[in-house]
Amino acid sequence: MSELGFEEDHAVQTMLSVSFVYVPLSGSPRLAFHYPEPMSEIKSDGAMSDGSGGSLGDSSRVHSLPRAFFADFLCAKLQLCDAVMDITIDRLRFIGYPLLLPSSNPHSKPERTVQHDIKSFNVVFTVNRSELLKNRGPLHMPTACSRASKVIGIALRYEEMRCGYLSEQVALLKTGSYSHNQASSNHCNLSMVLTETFESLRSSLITRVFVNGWLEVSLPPPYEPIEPSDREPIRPYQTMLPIDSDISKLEALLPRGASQVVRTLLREANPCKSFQDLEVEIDIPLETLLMAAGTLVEWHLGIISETISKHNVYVVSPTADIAVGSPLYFEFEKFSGNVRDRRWSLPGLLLQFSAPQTLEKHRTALGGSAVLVMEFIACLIWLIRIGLVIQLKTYIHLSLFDYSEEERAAVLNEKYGSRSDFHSFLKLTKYFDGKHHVEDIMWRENCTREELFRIIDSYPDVLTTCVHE
Amino acid sequence: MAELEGIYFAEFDNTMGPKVTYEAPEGLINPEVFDAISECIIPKPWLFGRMMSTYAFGKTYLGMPVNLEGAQYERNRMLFNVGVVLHPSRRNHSSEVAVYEPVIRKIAQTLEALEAETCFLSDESMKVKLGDVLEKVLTGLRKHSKAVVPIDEANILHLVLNPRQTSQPVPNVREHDVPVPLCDLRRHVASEKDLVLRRIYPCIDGVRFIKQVAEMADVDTELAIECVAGLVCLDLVRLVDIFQYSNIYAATKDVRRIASDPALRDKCLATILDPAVRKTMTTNELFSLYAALRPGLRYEDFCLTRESKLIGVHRHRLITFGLVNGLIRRVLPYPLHLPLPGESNISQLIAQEKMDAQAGNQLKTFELSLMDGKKSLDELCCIVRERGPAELAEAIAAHQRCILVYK
Repeated sequence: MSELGFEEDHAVQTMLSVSFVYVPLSGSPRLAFHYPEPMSEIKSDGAMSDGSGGSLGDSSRVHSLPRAFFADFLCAKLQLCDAVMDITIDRLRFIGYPLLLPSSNPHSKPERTVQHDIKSFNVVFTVNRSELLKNRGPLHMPTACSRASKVIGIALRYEEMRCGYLSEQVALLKTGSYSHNQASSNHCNLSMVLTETFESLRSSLITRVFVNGWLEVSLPPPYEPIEPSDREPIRPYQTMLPIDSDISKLEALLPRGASQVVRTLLREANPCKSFQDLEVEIDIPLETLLMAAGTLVEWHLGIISETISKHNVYVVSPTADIAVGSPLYFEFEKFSGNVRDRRWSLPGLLLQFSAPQTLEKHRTALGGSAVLVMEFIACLIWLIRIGLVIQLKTYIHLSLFDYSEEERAAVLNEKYGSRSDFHSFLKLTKYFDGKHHVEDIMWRENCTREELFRIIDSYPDVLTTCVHE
Repeated sequence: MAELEGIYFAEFDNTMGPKVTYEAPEGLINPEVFDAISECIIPKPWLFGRMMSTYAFGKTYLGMPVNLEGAQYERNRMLFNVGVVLHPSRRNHSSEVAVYEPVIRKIAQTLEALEAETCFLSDESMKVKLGDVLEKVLTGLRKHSKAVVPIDEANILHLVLNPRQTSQPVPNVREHDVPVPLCDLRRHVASEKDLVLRRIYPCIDGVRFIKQVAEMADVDTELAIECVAGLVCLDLVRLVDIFQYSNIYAATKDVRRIASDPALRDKCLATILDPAVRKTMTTNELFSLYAALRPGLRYEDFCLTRESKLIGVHRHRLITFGLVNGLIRRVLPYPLHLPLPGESNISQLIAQEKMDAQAGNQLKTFELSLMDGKKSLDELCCIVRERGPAELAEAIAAHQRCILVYK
């Protein structure tokens, strides 16, 4: 499992299979393709292996459904074509988008006429409903499945109308001997497209497939697109963390049309450098950088994080899975293979982050060795990326809750009006609502940490600080 | 929750084929729609008895096809399906539809039993009552999310829609969890016939953990766990950890609610203040107490430095209220027993254990085997039961290959 694989792992249980069913011009509906279980494992008889009383919830049992089920049931009636198909049976959910092929036009020119053997077809995804109910799978998954089925289906239909692609591929699938090797004479492009589509949905990554080797189809991401109004604004003091340390792997996932700025940001992103720092370093305007970062986050290739600085405090995340022998230990071993001095073990790091202290204190404890500090920071970045640690931030509250706004101003004025820094304090009070952390206030007011804390420390009676994630 | 458009009863008619016999309201499923989806409503044999839904023309049709076999039927079988038509929002289709499944299953099973007992469905004079029954079920479910509909003198259909039942996972209740009542339990469960519930509810005081509750009520722990899980589902109790002064609690981002929500603040003050000692407390004082809780700070140390501010404040209830309302969270210690590098060498393991024993280490092999990072120190103490968390934590600290991770 790769670093990317954590999402993949939990989605594995949600996405169960993909199948291709079609209705030939003459004859009954057929199941032409099924993945990951090969066709040979699909039962050909009509009896259910577990008797009628069992529940179809077990992910390993999708293929125990009879072949006739897939064919009859998932080939929608003509009046239900060109619309979302969504059927649940016990714990399984079948999602597709059946499409009708227009009957061949007798008035078209003879040289353009293609012999079609197919009346309608459907690319169907099987989803484990129990996982959706437990909210473990992404809620958006069903919509992503129907959209993927639709876009792939439209491309398949286009190619069928253009050159009889589907008829030819289905004939090849029927023979049972085909290969994914493009150089091979019996190469089956359809099976490759369907397999890649399924794997893309399963891995929660943005991808594209090429139908018939040329028609590029961008697959919808299996996560909910964030509405622009719901997006957390990205701040110049923050930074972007690519979701995998292997940048070339991420670059391969970028769509062809991805801008040069997006590529540069992916390569140059450094968790210890804010967007403001990067602006100077790589000479790209801040606005453009923030937009590129937003794009990478949207594509699930990057996460926004606070820039690592000596003042930051991290603790083990309450949701971290720290069980001995969990895949994380294996992942860490793989990661730390690159670290020269194997001083850090995962339990050792978890212990370090069991009690909150600033990175500066951690650094002091390491005795000032620059190499050790660098390795420690590398481990920390890994922990942040995996979500094993969370950052604690300091929020400030003006603790005059029982007063109205006017009363509050009067109280403050009466008590502190004569102080020399009162105006600076008053200017900051709008941020003392518990919604702005220290770094945010520093950026908004363009002040240093020392200046801010000098004020906070001189008004202890009316300010309450609170530390949380 | 998905909007309930109507209820139908469909069957396989020996001369006409699949048809909708009764529907509420009238005209719920038009003939063209039924023609398109009839294979999902009266399906092939391998789908009998399975909960099925299909989405077509903007609506979801959820039902359960039931097949009854017997020589008395014309084709040796009777096939019917009772179901609902829903207008779901597409957001979380799975759980919205799932809410109706128990109701459908119950109606189908009741009809099946009635047919077996009184030929309710095969006797046309009795079956005709179904139209009225469906009408009443629809009205009840729409208006009150429940319906009590008499079918004949002996049978009454009791149906309840419980959104929590399926939209949320069954709570993982453990014997060391402390159930905290969210209301006066006596009022809610006094009329209950469940004997376990009647015995345990007086013992639920927000302090005792489930194992203690079970022992006090003289009930099997497993039964008590099941019973408390039911109360959690109904939102009558919430679970918190065992309270100890050595525990660490930390404010969450919701902590500011105690200052911004006057109703919550008043409820909090009514809960935590001892009326005999202290009558009032300002919002600022209350907020600053919760805001000061942070990772790394033991509650005993927190209390020591705030003696004066805590006069007249029930210290245990301050924590319980914060936990139940999500203002604070517990930072739990998880013991980890680390395997030796190249742990497969058993003789090395034994040698290490001997060394640990000589060093005055008190941890037993059984205790070590439990330290897998999945169980918190509380859970471990509940299993071991010989010593408290403080003693165990001390032994862990002294052990060379054990650590406590706080999260």
